[in-house]
Amino acid sequence: MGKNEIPVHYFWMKEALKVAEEALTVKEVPVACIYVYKGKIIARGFNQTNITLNGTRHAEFEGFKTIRELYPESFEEVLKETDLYVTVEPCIMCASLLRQIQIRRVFFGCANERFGGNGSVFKVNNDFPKSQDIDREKLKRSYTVYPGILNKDAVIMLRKFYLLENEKSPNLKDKKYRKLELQEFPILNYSSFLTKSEFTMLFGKEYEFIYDENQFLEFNETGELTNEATGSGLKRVKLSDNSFNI
Amino acid sequence: MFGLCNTTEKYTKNFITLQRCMISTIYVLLEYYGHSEMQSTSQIPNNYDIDYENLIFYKNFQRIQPSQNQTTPNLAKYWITYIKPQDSNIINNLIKDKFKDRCDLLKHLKTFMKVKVDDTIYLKALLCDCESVNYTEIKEIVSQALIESKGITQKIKIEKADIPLNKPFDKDLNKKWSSEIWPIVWKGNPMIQELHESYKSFKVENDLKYIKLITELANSKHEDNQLPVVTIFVDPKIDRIISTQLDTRSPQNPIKHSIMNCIEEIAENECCRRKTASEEDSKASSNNYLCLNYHVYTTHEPCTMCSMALLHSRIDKLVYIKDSTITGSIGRESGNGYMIHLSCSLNWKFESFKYIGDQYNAPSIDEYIEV
Repeated sequence: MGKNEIPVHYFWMKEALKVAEEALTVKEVPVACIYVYKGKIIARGFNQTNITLNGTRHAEFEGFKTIRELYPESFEEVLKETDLYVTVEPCIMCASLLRQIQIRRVFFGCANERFGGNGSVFKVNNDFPKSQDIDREKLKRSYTVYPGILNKDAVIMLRKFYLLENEKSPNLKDKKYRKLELQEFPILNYSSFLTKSEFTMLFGKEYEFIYDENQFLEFNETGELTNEATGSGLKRVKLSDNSFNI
Repeated sequence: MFGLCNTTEKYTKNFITLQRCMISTIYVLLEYYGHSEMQSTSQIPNNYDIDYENLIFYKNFQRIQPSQNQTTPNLAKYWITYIKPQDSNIINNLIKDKFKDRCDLLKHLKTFMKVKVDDTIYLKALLCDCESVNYTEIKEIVSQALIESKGITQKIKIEKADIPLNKPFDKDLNKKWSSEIWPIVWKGNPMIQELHESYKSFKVENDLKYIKLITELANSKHEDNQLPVVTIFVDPKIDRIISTQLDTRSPQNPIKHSIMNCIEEIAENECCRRKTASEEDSKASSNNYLCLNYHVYTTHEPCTMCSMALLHSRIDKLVYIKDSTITGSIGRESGNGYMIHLSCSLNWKFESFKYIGDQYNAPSIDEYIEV
């Protein structure tokens, strides 16, 4: 781990967003993911709840299915060294799936405020049962999540979908609801998802201010961070706009 | 004429308030008396087989809900606007028209809160949650409503406000939250009300029938390497089983838990049906929540993944037999104490019961396994 890795995460998330584009074209909620093992994409998946009529067929499940087919004998071992890049924070169900299948790390774009299982509602990825007499060795190990990679792009993807939906809805005939909002974005509260030391381990101590000020991660074309400290140390506050089961 | 109507209305309102006061006094009194007195009072029907202390229906089904003595509000952010008192009808109509969905969740809240700004009385009006509608949209919706009914444009002030999602359990707390957060209707102890609502829709013969069925299946059908976990999904409207599934996990697929299997089976069947159905038929069934308001019976308390799958599927009720103390996600003391059925209640929640009778038993399994 370290900041040299940052462009890698940037490019993998770009790949996940490409998969989300595919979801849009088939009118599925555009949440998508890729699984990366030893520097290679081994599975892609996007949400398929509409076409399958199954509310549990989220992107993470689709990708896991591919991995089982690809490595029928060894997928458990493979997953222990696999990272997931998903455009939206996994919901509670998927967060539990990912822990049960022992994913190594999870990178995501925007938060899932209503259903998120990596910090928004619960921290399924690193909670442990309350009761005292438990053999921790026998529990599934926790995993770390890194939020905010291409946060705005993930939100724009969802908004594009909502616009398509609104066009169908008879209640919102007004043209004003058909404009893609590109100025306001929900602010990510990093401390809900990971500790400051987990953040600086990945992004480097010099970018600690991003965590402190809840800044959006800003990248240049080669995937390097371009954020600058405002010096005010002010925490930005949250606005939000999601309304689908994701 | 108009004036007369208003006065009559006022008297009726006062009368209702008076009645409410009396009822709440009875409830307050109830809190000082034991459980036996509670049942003999006219407010609580004699023929209800409820253990109020332990939340048990018909001696066999324990309702899973949070401890009732919560003194802190669970707050959510809602949009509010300021209006003149005479415009309250416009807002009432707007809410009926646009924000119907919010009604069930916020039945306990009053729509308006009186405030004084520079010696003028205004009403703060509760609109909708800040998550589903953004600032620009809500402002537009309110100004449209005002223009349509009054024909003039006026300055609109939209703000965010905290509102309590949970109901205060006693009258003092009700008063406190009403003055400090948002006005709350007091209709007596909400726990008793909620229990009665839930009890009224409870069909104990059906629940026992299905509990018997799943225990029989779990105790007989499984092979050596299979977990004796069984789930059935029932459509309560027609009292018919829609899906019956065992846990079929294998080294090739470790996530074939019984609940996931049921949801998958129901979806696949419906996909097939729609493919073969005539055009008109498939148009008629545009609902994509296939398990909407179903009842689910399962032998073992579900894991976080399966509990959340039930929530996504919008079921109405879950009944389970055996606690999963380490991996369960429903019981108050289970696992991480999530109580998933109530955790995303802004969007959906379902009722959960544990069968505690001794007539039917589910086989024990390794408590570290998620089911």
